[in-house]
Amino acid sequence: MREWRFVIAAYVVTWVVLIGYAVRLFLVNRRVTALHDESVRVVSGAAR
Amino acid sequence: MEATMDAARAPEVTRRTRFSILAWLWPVVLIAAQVYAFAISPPDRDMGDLQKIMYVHVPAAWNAFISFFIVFISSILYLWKRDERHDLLAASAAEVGAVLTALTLVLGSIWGRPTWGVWWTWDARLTSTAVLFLIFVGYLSLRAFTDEPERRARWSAAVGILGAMNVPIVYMSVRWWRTLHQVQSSPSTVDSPYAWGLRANAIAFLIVLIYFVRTRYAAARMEREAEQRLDAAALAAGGYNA
Amino acid sequence: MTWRAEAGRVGAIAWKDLTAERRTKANFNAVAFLGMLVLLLFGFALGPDTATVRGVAPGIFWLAVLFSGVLAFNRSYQLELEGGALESLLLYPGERWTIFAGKLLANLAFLLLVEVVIVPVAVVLYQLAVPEQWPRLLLVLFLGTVGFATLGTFYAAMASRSRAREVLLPLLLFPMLVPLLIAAAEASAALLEGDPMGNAGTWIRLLLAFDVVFLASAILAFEHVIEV
Repeated sequence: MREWRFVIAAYVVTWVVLIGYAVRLFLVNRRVTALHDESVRVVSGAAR
Repeated sequence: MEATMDAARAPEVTRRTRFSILAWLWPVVLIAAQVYAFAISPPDRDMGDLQKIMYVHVPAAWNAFISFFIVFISSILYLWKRDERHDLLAASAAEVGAVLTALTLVLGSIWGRPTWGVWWTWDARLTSTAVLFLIFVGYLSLRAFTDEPERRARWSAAVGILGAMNVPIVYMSVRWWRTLHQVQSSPSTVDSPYAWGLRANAIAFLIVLIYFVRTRYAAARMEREAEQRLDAAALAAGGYNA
Repeated sequence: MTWRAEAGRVGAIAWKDLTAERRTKANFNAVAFLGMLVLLLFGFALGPDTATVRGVAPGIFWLAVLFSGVLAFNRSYQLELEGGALESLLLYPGERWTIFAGKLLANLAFLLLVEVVIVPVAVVLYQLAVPEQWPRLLLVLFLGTVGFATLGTFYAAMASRSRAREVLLPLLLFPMLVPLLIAAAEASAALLEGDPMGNAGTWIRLLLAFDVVFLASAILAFEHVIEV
């Protein structure tokens, strides 16, 4: 059946989008953690 | 959460550990649900195997609406309590909701093509979802173009509340519009052999939603706290620049 | 009696906005001409066949109203923004909703006047016959414009003070107007044909419900968006 192509496409799209967003979340988290560490450093540095 | 300078690190570390369980769990649960649904469903007479697309399309749609509901409630809570955390939750839910809504639309299109030979049908639900997507996009654009945090929170909350209120109105008007010019009927989604497969996938998607929103929210909280820390330091040092 | 005081404030703001508009007729002319231009462009885009075009005329008319009217809303806040008058306006005692109501009335009056110009042009260009139910058609026109003005005035309070004001207002406003567009276009189309299937009443009720819901919400939410 030709329709299998569409079913496969649907699942591929779904997983690509979900994994893709999960990866984006990971990258955002990394950037924000760096920002967090930077801000803590600045605060403890300025406390002198 | 009262974040003192030292204690701030600890809660975030704990949160990240809890999240990382979900981070590995959601793909496992989702795959399990999809395998389960495939295993128990018989090939459908009319739609061949296309019904299986419903196992991703419908849960994505349901959870997109759940996201929007979270935006709605958080927006109301923000305007009521003026607690920034509600604003950050609303923003996180809106971002995840936009992704799920876009996914719903694409999957609806993929389903429509072999069924009716066209990439888009002005089906009431799909059309309403398209409008919902644009409302989400408007919300996110407003946030992107508003830099001042307090103003951004207030404005987003107002836009989120009005947008959410419009969703049932949009759906009703599109449905009446469709019944007047009726051509095709909407796809039925819940016939009994498929119901369990659908429920399993709906729950799996809900777990995905929870993981995405909580992770996005944690990042938003951390970012906001870092900003505030830097602002406070700059003020305390009398203009010292980080 | 505070009600009278508040009504007075609403009137004062509406009058202020309208007279500022009157002194610069250029804006009214520009919007009205843009409306006519949109009607003309749709005519070109959809082809000269009269039958086709007459069928879609109600939808095209409402799109012309939307596309040209959207330009009016940001301007209604521009006056205060340029002079820094917004802060002063907010200092006066009184509920914020009176500011919204005043601006809404001014925008509503402006749009209705623009429609006075555009409607005859549409009738001529699309060879429409004035139906015997024209009072109901006027009601549809009014209700549709009220809803448009309500949401337009509300979102412009934010968009006009934002970095990307030209694109942000349509982006926020148009998705919200979908029910209004559908209802107004369908009701207009039905009434132009003499409402053979009696649909117009349903659409008019939807328009009314839409207007009430969003007028109330906008008034309630306005204080949160107007603050500096």
